[in-house]
Amino acid sequence: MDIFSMGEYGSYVWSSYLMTLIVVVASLGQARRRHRRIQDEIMRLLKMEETGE
Amino acid sequence: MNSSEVNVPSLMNGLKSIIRRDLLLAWKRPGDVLNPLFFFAMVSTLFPLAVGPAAEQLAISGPGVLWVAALLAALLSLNGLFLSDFEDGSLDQIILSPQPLPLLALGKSIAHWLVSGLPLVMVSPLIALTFRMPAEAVDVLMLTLALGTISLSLLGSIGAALTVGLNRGNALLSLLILPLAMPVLIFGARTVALAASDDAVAAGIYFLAAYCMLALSLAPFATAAALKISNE
Amino acid sequence: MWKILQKLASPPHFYQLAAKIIPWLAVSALLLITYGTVAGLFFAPADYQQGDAFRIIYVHVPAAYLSMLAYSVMAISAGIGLIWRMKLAHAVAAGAAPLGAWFTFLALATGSIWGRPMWGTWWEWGDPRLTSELIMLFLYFGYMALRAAIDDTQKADRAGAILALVGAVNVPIIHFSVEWWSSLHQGPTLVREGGPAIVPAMLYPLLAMIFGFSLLFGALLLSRVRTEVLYRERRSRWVRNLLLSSEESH
Repeated sequence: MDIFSMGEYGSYVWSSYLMTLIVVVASLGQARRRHRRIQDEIMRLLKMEETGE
Repeated sequence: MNSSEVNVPSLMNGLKSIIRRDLLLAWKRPGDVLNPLFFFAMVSTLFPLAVGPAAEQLAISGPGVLWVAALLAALLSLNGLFLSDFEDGSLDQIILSPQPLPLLALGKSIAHWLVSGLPLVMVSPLIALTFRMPAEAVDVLMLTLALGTISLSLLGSIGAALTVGLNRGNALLSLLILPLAMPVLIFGARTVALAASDDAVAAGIYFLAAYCMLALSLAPFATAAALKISNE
Repeated sequence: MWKILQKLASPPHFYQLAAKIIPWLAVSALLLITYGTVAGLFFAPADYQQGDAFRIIYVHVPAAYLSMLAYSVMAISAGIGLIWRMKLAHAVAAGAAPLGAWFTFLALATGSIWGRPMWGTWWEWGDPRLTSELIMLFLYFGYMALRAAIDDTQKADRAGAILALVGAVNVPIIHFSVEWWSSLHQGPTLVREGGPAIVPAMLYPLLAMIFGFSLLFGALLLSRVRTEVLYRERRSRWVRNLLLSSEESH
């Protein structure tokens, strides 16, 4: 079982799988960052209102 | 006033009057007609200037170049489709008028084509000649451009309606319309290329006509919906 | 039944419920994808024509399928939001767009990598499927750009919905392009008359990957919709209470 060479197609196959992993991780990271940014923004809004009163 | 009936103009009258109005406005602003035409001519000449005047290259690239230039000129002219109406408040009147808004949107698209698309089709043979396009291909060029620019006026009105009043609406308009315009470009340019090499063009023309029919039946409704949303 | 749906459509309920569902989706996705990857890479027999290169199918097909699924989800939920004025539906559309763009890019990239050894080229401009998939990527960008350009969320929702619906005609074109026009791309392998044209040892990992990635898509989508809901409801009481209480517990 030639795991890494995959016939002569190793670089193609592995780069596709790597690309897939990267896309999923990047998409996840992007979403997480956005969620955190919005949470921070809301907290800031709340703090501003507290001090404003 | 004791009349119990309101004199609402018929549908045909409504359509005709909005077309007439836009044509009159364009008549007063010749730039609306001339600018896209000049743009079409100039963009077409950019390619031979950049790539070189070799005859075979011109003949091969001619259909594509002319089509891309026509597409870009159409995009340029679409920016102003609803802009002046929006700015002077007549868009409100159009939306509130008793005629169905899709009908009026169709009228705007028709007027837009008469002002920008039709002149372009008429001028295209001149430019095609400089690209050494054979006469049979020029006929097909005019036909495909006619069908294509009609589709573009219709699809473009959707984009124009979605972006009217937005800050950098111009670039956004192009971004929105281009994906929808790509099939038109592909079939238009390829069909003319086929005509130049004496191949069968029926399939491409049927496709363009079908796309045009689809746009004709659906675009006015999308444009009307978009106008109501944008004008709030 | 209607009551359940109405409850579900209420943002705070959705927010909590989604948080509970996401781990289940993610774990099952992980299991299916792990099986699919391992079986596809190491246990499925090599293709007699393409050798081991065909194993790219196990990431390419799910990506392509998801790119179209995401657009359908986006267009349908945008339509629901437009017609029935459901805020949550609009949030789903907004969340689906970037996901769809990612997977469309992935489909194009893995397809390109696969095409290089098989067709001899990284890209083929004349190919209808490649072209229509690329057009879909541009449609996603246009949708996201339009939303970003409109400040008012409601207006952005509804304008975006029109655009999404107009562009939806592209999805069947992508699918049927290989049947309608001559294409380098192979024809349908799974959904065709006479059943799938692929042996079970190759088929099962593929199905696992498709289902696994669909579940993953569900998890990713739900989490993005949660973020959308949080943003849209940022001034509401339930959000404040939620964030304040979670702050205190830290």
